[in-house]
Amino acid sequence: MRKRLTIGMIVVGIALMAISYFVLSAPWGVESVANSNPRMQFAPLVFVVGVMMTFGSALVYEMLPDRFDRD
Amino acid sequence: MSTATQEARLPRGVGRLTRGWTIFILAMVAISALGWIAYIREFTQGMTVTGMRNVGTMGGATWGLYITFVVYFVGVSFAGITIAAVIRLFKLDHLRPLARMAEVLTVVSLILGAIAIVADLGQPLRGMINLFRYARPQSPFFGTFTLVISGYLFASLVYLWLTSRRDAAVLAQRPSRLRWIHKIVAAGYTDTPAERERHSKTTFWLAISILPMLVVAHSTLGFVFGLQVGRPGWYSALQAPAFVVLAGVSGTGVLIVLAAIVRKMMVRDVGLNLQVFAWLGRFLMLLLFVYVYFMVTELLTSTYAGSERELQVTREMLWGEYSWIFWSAVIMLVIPLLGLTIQAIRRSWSIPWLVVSGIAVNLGAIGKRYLIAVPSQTHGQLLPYVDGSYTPTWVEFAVVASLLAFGALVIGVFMKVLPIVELEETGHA
Amino acid sequence: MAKYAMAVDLDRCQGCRACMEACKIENNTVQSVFWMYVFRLESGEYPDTKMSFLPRPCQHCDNAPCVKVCPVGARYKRQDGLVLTDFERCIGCRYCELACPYGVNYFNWTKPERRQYLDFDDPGIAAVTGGVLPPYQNPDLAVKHGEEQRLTAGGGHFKGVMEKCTFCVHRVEKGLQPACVATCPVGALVFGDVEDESGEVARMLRDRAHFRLLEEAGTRPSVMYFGGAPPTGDSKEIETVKARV
Repeated sequence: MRKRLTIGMIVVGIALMAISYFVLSAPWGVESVANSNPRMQFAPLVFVVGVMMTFGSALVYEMLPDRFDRD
Repeated sequence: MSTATQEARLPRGVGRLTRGWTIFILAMVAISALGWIAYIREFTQGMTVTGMRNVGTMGGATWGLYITFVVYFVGVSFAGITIAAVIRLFKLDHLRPLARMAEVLTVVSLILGAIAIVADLGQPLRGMINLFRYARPQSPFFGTFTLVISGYLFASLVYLWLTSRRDAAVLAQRPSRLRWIHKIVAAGYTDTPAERERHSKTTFWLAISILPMLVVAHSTLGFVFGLQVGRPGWYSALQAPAFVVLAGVSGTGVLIVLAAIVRKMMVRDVGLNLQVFAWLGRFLMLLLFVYVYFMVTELLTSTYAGSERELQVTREMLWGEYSWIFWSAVIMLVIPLLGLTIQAIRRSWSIPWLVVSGIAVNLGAIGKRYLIAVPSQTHGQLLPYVDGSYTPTWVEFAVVASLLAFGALVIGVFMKVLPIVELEETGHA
Repeated sequence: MAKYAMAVDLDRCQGCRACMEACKIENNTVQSVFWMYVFRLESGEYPDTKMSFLPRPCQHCDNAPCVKVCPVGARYKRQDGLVLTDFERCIGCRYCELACPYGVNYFNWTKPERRQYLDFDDPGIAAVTGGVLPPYQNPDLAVKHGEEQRLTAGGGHFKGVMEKCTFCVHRVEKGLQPACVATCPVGALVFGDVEDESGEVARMLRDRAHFRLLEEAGTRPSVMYFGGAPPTGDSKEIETVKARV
């Protein structure tokens, strides 16, 4: 359970980062340098949440109470 | 029921508020308050109260002392994760006493850097929302904002918390006024072998994954300057690497000073011995060698083949308006380098001299950061505008001083809440 | 879709700076902010000096460094070529000012009320305007523009945001010429759709040699200079504006 939760958080965190960056924020194509709006507002917030989730998995891994180890 | 005697038993001076400490904290609070007054002035009246003005027709510099210190503070944060990573990855256990103060230094200096950026915005409240809402990856600021402030800072906080849990658990076993804080920080740490195994794995992987953040953090700040083709003196591929190295110089310098202060404060020997300072001295020396090499490279390149405007900026730095800052910064970086080299060759290190070096390289780093930001704005216009000038006002000095005081305040308070040097493995003080 | 550009005829420009005045009145910019600026340059050593004049609006670059660096996308480039600032989104970081090689950006360091071209709140304003009431505060400046519908025209809206020449977007959208172009007494400024083959700008581009400022910076500006010559290394600015607040 502990391991799965940790790895899950890392995967979700990185997924959030990748999606919010490549799909929602980063410009595609030639005319992209002038692009001034993210495809979804608050996409950078999603990116930041993804970063925090990835590193927050360390907190989960260490601090999850022992009874979750059995699972 | 004398809580004073009980707290006197907490290790590393935790909970023991000496007179000297109290005076120091009050002084820091006073300076911070002064900065707040200055900032409120700036917030209500507009940034006209600073010395910054538009570049070009207005003949000013639009980024001044605030940005200098943003870059400086983010630079100082180099120390923490480097020490932590070095300890974990290269098993340099004799450096363990430095670990926690290095991490605290990283967290505090990143917070100061974030506050300094906000102080520099014309619309700070809007800025804090709009950055989360609209930040663009094409802008170098995206990396600064997301990875440095949000990623690097958060990761360092996680690292600091996880490495403090064991000590907090030990302290929570003793009755004291701070027990509730210790219990929260310990978050149920039980010191079983399984737990220690997990902790060792986690900190190892955290250290490894924060290291790329470190390079990204300082490089991205370098890119903020280095990618601007319209700014002679900024446009250079060397900015990003030079930022990383100067960050190392200033971070290590501050760490030396902090370690020396802690060593003086501690009643007993906590492992901050000459061997530790010698390592820091050698590390600082290596970084200084690399940085001086970068400085010489930059100077050679811009004086040999720079454009007219680039030459003008360089001239102002070498013997013009900014020469006093330039040569002071060079002296502040080169003299310590010579001193450290002599000590390294003779294998005899002197802590007072190391502290002086630590302070000097930081003053030199601040000077260099200032020189990166300002001369290219006042004297580096590509169109034939008249040269400008920039003098910071008391508002800017006050805000910067209050940031430094706030940082010292947080570190001072931290020292009395949690041990600034890790407790020994046995858990007894 | 039109693609706007400006042609500046340096053989005609006489340095009168009427365009600067017109820009300030039209856009209500504050004291010491010069969206349109005309350099008066002198090169050479006395007695072999030469004088030249160089109007410098925003260049509305196709590869605008200011657009690239804006952290929140307040500085944006439209399909019709104009580079504009959304002053509702701008956070005042001033990065665009530093990225611009031409120095056309202005930051509002203070509340604009007391430094406006005309202090619209001043009770004595009627004496200045010769009794014409209300004083000329351009109503177009507070209106949203373009298909993006962003608030982008006019200067000095509030402290803490950036501003710069907009090619008078509020006039262009009504089919008028920018204020500087309309005011120039010698026709040194020409503005129009560069893709319109029959238009004056396209004609000038075909018939005459031209240069752009700081082409080596790779910004691809939309302002073309005809006649004259680019400023050289020994061009010095004379008769600068009293521009420091």
